[in-house]
Amino acid sequence: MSTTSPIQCDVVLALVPTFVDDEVTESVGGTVRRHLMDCSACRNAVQEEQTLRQWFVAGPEVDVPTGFAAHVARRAFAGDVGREPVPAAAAPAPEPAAGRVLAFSRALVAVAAGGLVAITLVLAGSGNPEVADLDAGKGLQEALSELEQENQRLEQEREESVSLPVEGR
Amino acid sequence: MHKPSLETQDDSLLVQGTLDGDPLCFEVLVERYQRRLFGLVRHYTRSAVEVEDIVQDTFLKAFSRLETFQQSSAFYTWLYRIAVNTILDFMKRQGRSPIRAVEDPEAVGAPADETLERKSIRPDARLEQAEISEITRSVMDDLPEIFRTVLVMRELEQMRYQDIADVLQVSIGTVESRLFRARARFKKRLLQLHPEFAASQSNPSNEESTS
Repeated sequence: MSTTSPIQCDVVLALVPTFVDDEVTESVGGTVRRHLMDCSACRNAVQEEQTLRQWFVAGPEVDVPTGFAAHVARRAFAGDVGREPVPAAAAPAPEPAAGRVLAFSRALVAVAAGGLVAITLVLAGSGNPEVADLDAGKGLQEALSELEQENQRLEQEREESVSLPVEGR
Repeated sequence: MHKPSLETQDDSLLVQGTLDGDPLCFEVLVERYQRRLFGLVRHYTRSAVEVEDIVQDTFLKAFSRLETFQQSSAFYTWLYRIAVNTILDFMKRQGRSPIRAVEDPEAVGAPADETLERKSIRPDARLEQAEISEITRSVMDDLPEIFRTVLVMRELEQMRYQDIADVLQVSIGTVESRLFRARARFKKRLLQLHPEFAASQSNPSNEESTS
């Protein structure tokens, strides 16, 4: 404990980080230094704070690419207002429940469509009538012939009705 | 105006020249601060490509907002603030180290483990600077951004409290407070990740310290 310094240890301990950072005023710094000469506990605290600072070592520098400034200026004057960098190795976000249901539905529809195509192909090759067998012309001829016969029958009936005498005149 | 003559101009004149449509003025501004921004951003990512992207994005944002720059403040402080925000946006989008509010009691509270607090931790003398740097980065990667940013500014960029306060737009008292908590969190995490560097601090004058 300091016996001669006019400043208390708790005050000095509170000032240690800013003192080590050299962010105290000259007069406060001088007072702390005088206290430290007499107080080993506060000196330990300062030493501890300085030890922690030894860990803060910057990593290797990154070189500025040649022509970077000219490139940026060109882009800026071309109207580029900047964008967020695309995440290079970001893991895909997990699908929400609704998304999973939608994906399942799509898969189901795809499977069903595939099944329909397969069934169609199987039926096509299973002995169904060929186009040549479907003689639409033959049916039409028969129908026309029947219609013609019906017309003739009606015409004949009309003629017969005209030639009949009117009864009761 | 020719580029060599622009290189000696004040920031404010270059800003005005840029606003007047002179690309060379902006190019000189970028050249003046590009190295410092590359130096800042490298503390946040190991990828040189990402560093370049973030710095470029910072300058482009600064250009697009140049009309809002108040000439009363330093251009670099303003640019630095945009850089920090761009970095934090980038980290957030990457899902790395989510930013925690300063009100978060877990984030701002003092370390609960007093045993850890009393332990001293110093880099092994056999460690190369590059190894220490790698350990430090891994610890800082685990810190909330609010603490990491203030540590980067103070410990790695050697910025004064006032400059940090200007960039973060907080008081000097807040800077001191955040630094204190950030260092405590850093030490705690360092001890958790690398207990091999811990040494029980002999504190023979513990009784003395209460005066």
